Amino acid sequence: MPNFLDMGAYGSFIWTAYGIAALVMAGLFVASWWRLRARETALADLLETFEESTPVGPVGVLANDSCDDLDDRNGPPS
Amino acid sequence: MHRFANPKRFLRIAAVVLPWSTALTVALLGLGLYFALLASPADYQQGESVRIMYVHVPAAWMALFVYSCLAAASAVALIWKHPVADLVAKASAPIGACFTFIALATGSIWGKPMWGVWWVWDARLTSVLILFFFYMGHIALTSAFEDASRGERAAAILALVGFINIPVIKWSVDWWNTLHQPASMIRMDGPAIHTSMLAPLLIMAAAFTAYYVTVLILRLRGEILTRKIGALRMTRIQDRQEERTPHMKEV
Amino acid sequence: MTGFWLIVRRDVVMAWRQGGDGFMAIMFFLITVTLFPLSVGPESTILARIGAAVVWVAALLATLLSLERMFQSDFEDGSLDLMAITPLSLEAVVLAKCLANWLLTGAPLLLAAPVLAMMLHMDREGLAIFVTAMALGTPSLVFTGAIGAALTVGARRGGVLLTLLVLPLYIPVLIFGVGAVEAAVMGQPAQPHLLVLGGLLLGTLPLGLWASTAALRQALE
Repeated sequence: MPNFLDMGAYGSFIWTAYGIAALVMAGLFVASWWRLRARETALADLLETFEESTPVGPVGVLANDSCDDLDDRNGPPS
Repeated sequence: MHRFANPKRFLRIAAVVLPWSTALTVALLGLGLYFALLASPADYQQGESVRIMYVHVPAAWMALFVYSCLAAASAVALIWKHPVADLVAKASAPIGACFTFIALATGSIWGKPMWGVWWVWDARLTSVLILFFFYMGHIALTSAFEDASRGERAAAILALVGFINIPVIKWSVDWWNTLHQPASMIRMDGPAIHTSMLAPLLIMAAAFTAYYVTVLILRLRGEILTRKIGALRMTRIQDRQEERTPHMKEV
Repeated sequence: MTGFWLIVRRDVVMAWRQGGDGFMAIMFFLITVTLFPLSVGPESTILARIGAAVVWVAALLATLLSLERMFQSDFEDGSLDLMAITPLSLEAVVLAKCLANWLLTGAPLLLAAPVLAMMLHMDREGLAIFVTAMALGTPSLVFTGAIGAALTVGARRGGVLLTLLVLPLYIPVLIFGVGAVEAAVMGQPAQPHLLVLGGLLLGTLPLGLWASTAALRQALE
């Protein structure tokens, strides 16, 4: 076990290298995951306020299930 | 390719792929680390420090691979105005930047015991550093405009301009007399590495690729949701304006 | 063809009237280069060693200063829209603006360089190669810089972003430009470096024009 950690006196180099790689990759994964979660809650909240304020709803967005509006970068067809 | 232009269909496919790619990433990483740290021999000249190679080289490969994907997606976005393609480019940039950083950092750490220096301004290291700058520039450009799609299109042009750097990196060790090791993998007469070292290298490379796919899907979903939220907010603002002034129609 | 020269003349005259891009660029250039002997010490061996590098870096930075104004003011007041709909192709407009920019910054640098080379104790052969290298390199800097200027037109904090984008692209010209002069100073053949500089110019011309035009079209949409 000590030999594993020491790696023939190169231990600090090897473990620092692997450690940096692990940290960066894990960090990116976690950040991306959190970002997605935050967006999902924001979207859910936004959809709630829509249902509250306008029961009829803007026809373009909620009733449209084919996501055509997402192809139009300037927003839903007015 | 045009089948994926519909974000919702793309999201459905992505939802199916995501658990598989995550599982594959974890499995391959486990297997790769086992081979890299335990089941492979030390090098005759470098001793155990050669194990850094199993992180450094796959990370460097990924840095180049992700940039190529980014450039290809940018080309598709510019030529066909494909809505998902420029999101792929935008989502890939941070991943590529991370891999480039890992390659530079682990390379520097490996260089100290091997060459005696942390850094040297030879062609390979300098061009990879430039690649890192291109990634940062791409990320900065996408968020530099009020109109997000303007930033994405500008970044697409930048991505194509920067693609020149990729062949330079690949052949820098052949064209110039560099301190960095010359090509020993993709050569005309096959790889020059023994199987016992080649196996962990390839497994780690496969693991990193699965990682890229996984994180890419996560970030893509985030981007698509960002667009949807933006569109919904615009609708809400328009609705409120119409409520206040019902007789005024949008031109 | 007259439209082309009209744009060139317009840009040059406007910059001249506004206190001169070229004048400011030369002054920046001279002052920056002067900082080095002051900080490194007047020993002529050191200066001869780093002289080429110092002058090139200063030229680079001076070019960067002028790039921001290349498209921004025309974009803001609508002149760029007008230029886009003239019979002159947008590529020709960009080329005209690049030529104007070079006349304002690159050409004066070429004239100032011999003076600086003397201040830095460069010898005669080095000077000739140096001027050739700058003549080949400064247009490349303008064409590459135009890419950054076009990409960042209308962006927030465009100036800093422009620098971030353009400096990596400048590195090849810098490396071979300095390499050419150092080779000459050390009595080695500078021709390979000059040939690469020429090649870079031939490469950055179409690339710069294509990318800048595409970026401007995006901005004008």
